[in-house]
Amino acid sequence: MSETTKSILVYFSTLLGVGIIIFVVLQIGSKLQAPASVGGRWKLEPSNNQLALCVDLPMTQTEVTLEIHQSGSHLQMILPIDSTNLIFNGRLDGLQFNTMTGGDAALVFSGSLDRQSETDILSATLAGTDCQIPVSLIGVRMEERLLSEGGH
Amino acid sequence: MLHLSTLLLQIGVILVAARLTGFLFRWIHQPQVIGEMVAGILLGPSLFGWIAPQLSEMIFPVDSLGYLNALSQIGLILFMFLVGLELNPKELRGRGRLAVITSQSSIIAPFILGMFLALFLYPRLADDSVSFAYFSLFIGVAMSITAFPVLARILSERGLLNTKLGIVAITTAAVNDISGWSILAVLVVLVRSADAGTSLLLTFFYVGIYMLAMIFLIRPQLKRIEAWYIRKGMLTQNMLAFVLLCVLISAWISEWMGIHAFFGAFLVGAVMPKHGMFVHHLYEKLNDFSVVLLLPLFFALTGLRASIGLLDGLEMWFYFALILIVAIAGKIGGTAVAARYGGMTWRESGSLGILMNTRGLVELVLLNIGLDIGVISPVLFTMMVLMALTTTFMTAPLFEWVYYARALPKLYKTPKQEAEEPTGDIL
Repeated sequence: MSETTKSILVYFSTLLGVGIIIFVVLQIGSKLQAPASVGGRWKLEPSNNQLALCVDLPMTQTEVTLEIHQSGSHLQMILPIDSTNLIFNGRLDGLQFNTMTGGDAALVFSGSLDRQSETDILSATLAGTDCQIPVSLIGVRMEERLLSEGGH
Repeated sequence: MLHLSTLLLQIGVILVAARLTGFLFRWIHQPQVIGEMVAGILLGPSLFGWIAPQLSEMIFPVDSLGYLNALSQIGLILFMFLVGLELNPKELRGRGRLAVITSQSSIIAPFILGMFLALFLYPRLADDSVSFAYFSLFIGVAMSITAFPVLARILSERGLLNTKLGIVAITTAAVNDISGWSILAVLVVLVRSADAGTSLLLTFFYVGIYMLAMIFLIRPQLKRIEAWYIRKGMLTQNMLAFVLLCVLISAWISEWMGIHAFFGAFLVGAVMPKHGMFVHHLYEKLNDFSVVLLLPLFFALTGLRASIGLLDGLEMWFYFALILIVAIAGKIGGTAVAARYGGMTWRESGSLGILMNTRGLVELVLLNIGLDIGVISPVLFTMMVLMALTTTFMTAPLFEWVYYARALPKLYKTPKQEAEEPTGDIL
């Protein structure tokens, strides 16, 4: 066998091998389950009056938008209240999430994701020592992702 | 509304930080561009936003970043054009078996290792809005990228361009660049067409027509400009305007087709006739403006998107270490083994692997595209940015240690001697 033929054989064998490896990795990977996607902006309901039982919400604020930054099961949720942001960090376990703020008077924001309906729904509870009662909230997804911003 | 004063302040702060950090890195014998990349990271939430959040918010308010982003995108379009301009396909001809083997291996080995790494990372750092196929292909490409411009400057500064190592390295990096961008272009088309619901076949048809038009319609026009340049003996403003127009139109068309605007700019540079002084003058005209003013804006925006604080806890640092190990092992190992098989000594092979391991700015461009199209998450973006910085930072000292100091002791320059020599900006 000439040197050229041998080189061509080695080249095409390598290409074939690479193709097979990529195919196998893609097959294995297609069976992997990544955490559910919750990243994006969520419009929170119900009314601000109930949310005000937990946080100092100014009367001028008419809408509360929750931002969720996600990296795998790691979540960072940002709740903008007036000019400050409440930042919750935590994890997603299946469709359940549990996050909390840092500091002494920690607020806990936990709940679950409902993906059965046409639009994803976030059912959550905000609780903590500063809350008079735990506040139930429903979030409706406004957009898929927060692609251009930092955070989890 | 555009607050011009805010924009000017931002540009000023970024320029000062980039020049100062770049100078500092030059002082420790590192390419200036690494300092500028680090300056970008430091201006973001990793340092400036962390130690002075209010001042950071005042200088870089979120709603003002759109203007900075637009400027940086223009800078990147110019940069990608320059990257294409530096590639000369004719130089790839007749480079022999060794160059072919190393170029293929330097892509395939890190690509495959990257795909295996994706098996581990996907359930941990991705979410189900991105499919495993896209995620793994992206990680594979991110691992395979080599910063051709950095490598070329390192070889040029050390007078190694015409050595066996230099020729193989340049050829390998050039093939690597073309392959990496091609795979990424296909990936971007796949992801965007899936998101927008457009026909994939139609997109590839458009891309095919566009490539043919670039080669058979635009290239002859660029040759005419070159002939005009030779007649005039200088690069006139009209010539420059025509070339820039080609770059912008090509970038616009490629963006419209669903591949990224950067590919269009890169392609114009790649099909540009590469004879004589024309390309050299064109490069000189655009390089300073792009490198000094616009690219630091891109570094700063990358820094604003990356936050080292996201790597909280050992688990995250373990993922980063894994990414770094796979990136280095895939690139250095894959290249070195192939080069050794091709007949180089182990020392030369290792040196080639080390050179190919530099990722630099090219990797940052790729990572920003990945974040934009939603294939990677912000925390993975941060880890990959740190990996790009680390692999670029380690290239020069490791190369000198393995090849320059030991293989050619007589030619080795002390840091003092090197500092006395004039050095240009390295991308």
